[in-house]
Amino acid sequence: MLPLRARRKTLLILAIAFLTAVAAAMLPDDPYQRWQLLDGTIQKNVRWIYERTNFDPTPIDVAVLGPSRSAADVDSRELEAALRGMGTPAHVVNFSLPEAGRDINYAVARELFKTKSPKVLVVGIIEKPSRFGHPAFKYVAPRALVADPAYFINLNYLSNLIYLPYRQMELFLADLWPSLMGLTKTFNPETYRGSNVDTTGAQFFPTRSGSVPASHDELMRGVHKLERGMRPPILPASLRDVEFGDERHYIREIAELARAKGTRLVFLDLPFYTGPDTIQDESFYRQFGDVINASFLAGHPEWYADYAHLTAHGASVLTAWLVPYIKKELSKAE
Amino acid sequence: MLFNSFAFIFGFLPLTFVITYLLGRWKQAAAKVALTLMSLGFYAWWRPIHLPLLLFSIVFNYYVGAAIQRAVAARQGARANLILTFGLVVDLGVLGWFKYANFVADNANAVLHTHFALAHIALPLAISFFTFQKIAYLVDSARGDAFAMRPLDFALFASFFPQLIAGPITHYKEIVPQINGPLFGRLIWRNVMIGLVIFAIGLFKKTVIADTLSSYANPLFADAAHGRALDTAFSWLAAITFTLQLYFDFSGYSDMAIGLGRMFGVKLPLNFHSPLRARSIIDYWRRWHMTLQRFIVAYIYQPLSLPLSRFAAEHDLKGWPSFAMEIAIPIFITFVLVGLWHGAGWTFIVFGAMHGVYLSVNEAWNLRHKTRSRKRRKQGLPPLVEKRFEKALYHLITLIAIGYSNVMFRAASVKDALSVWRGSIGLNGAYDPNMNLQQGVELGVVILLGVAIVAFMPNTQQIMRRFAPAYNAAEWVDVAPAMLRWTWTPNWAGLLFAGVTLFLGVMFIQRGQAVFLYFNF
Repeated sequence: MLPLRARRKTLLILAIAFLTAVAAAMLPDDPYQRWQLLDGTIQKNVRWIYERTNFDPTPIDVAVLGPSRSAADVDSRELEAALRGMGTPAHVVNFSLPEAGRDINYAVARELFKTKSPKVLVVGIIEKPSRFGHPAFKYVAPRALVADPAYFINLNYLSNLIYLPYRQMELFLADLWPSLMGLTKTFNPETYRGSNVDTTGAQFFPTRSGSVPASHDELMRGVHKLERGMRPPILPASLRDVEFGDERHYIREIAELARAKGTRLVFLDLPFYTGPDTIQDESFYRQFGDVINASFLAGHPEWYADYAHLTAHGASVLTAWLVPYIKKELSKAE
Repeated sequence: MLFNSFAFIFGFLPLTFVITYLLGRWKQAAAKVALTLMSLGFYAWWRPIHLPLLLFSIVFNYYVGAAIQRAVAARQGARANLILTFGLVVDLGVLGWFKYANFVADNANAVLHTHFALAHIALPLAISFFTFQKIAYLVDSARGDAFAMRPLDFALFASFFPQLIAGPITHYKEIVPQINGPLFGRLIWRNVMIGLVIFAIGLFKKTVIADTLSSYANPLFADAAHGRALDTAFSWLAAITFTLQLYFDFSGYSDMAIGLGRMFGVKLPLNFHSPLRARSIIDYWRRWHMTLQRFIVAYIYQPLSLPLSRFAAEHDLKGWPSFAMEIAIPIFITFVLVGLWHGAGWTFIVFGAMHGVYLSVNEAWNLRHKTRSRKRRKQGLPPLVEKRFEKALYHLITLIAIGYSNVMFRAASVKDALSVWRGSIGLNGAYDPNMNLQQGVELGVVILLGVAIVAFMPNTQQIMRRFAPAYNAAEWVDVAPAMLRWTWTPNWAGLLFAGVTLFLGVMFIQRGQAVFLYFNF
């Protein structure tokens, strides 16, 4: 028996649990395995993103980052083909992921800029900036990034941080026994999905065709639901960095990465059906690059597969509209 | 709110702990008020709309209990019985409405070809548990085992969050003297330490073991539900995996409840004592969900058995008719009701009926054994001694019987359960090459680990035996000792064990907060 009182022993148990968690969080991992943790989920493209940036030597000239709308709406293959057709050959990728949250875009941007030097980075934005981080962030972000609260009152911080020890244990075991944990350590070119992966249409809507526009009723149901969930800013304008910390902090970080590599930054606003043609905080984005507003989409139900995402045809329309802007940005970058 | 959630572990629990003990330093009653309100909040977190039902149950049973106690004190037995009957009718009526109305309506429509429409009635969380607790209280009042108490004490007794959702089903005499004791509301760190260790073990059982097993069991039963015929190997794997999952899930929950109760200075009764080490189905039910078992014996089996025994005696029944009347029929009815208590569905009824038959056969076997022993004694022969292989055989038969009934318990329909049963006896083929062999091997390893824990490790009350971990632990700690005899000591090794167990239990919540199986009841 230890010559301690029960109170100290209780606190010791809690301290041991805490220190074990810290030790577990420090376990080494293989980043490639980390980016496979979301295989089989709607975020499965993160594995391809890692493979594209780390194992594929093809350069990246134009990259798109952003939430689900930029994934469904920007057809990177059509954009690449159109630029080539206009005499501006460029390798294009769309690294956007479903669901909102800017932190994941930053984690992807870090991978991107670590190995590639894109000339243009298109960042998808929507009418309201995000208050919360992305659910995939805690799975793929490096340990240091998860452990860094990044900004004041990061509402995802604790839930991300508490996931870290479990993730690191899983990855540590996967490093030792990859097949047991179902996470490979070696890149297989045969299963690699290629330099340019389509993220639109049927790729975005695996359970439906992605080419069929939603009915008006369906669109309006989705729009009403979205509008009900929209909350105007709660805090005064001077505290936007607190209320919208995720958006503003990580946009600044992405802009900093882009600046360091001489990459031109463009913000692409993608409205929902009947959505507004204005963007809350547009002036914030303009500090870092041009803002392109695709508000012409909002009045065309025939282009929407659901309340906020375009059909494959809608994506073609938007991509064709986007080409001259990207061409101009590429020429500026030359 | 789930015990295995971050909201509970890092939010509700510390907050309740601090508020209760801070107020307890000032006044014991204030601690009770705080703990009662927090417990009601704990209940409402899940579905606030059902909180009024719990409040009704508390208020109604408090006043009915008090009326019964007054009648008993005035020696008005008939009046006490009348009020008791009224209380039981209301309690069972509420339970019946919320839990069985849809089931009855659906089956009536199917049999009578009617179209009686009844809106879907959402099952209030824990209604079976808190209703049984109240019934026990009313019956205890009528039997003179429960006495008048203040409304606040009753509200705390009836809503105390560790036991509110899935038991243990507690009695007045177990809890009320503790919450009225002079130490209640005073922070005693020894209780907190012991409670924390028990909670950590329970959390580990749930999140690390049970949830791992469920990740294998669920797809197998889903396959059966989708019409896929499981082969012999996978049928048995499904049955064994679910049996282990159910055990670790519910015993983990019960450990957590006991640990939490202890943190707040209340010793709850045991609910599990290594039931899978039982060598007979009778023994299994003594050690599985023990507080439910004692409830059904005291309040269902005995009231059924007594008049039937009297009937058998009056009609001079002998042999099998007497056995049927005195034992088999009341057991069968009791266990069909136990099955129904678990859920309004035919799978649960069949599950209960199976256990009714198992227990009747077990009782008949015991009777035969006693008769043979008596004969041998008369003949001057030495008493029958069970050989080792006989013991092993009894254990195996018990486990197989439990496995088969648990398939019925888990399956989405009787048809699905029959499909798994068919697979288990080879009617779906010995081996289906389309089944995932690697999954089978992994599952085999997991099962071996689970079986090793069940077979060789001491249970939680045996691990914590030197601290009287539960209300009735002393009666049980020496029953079914484990091969590995290890007791927890608060030395460095013990603290390390507790800390690492707590860490793993919390970390494995990350895999997803699976609901406790018994939350459905």
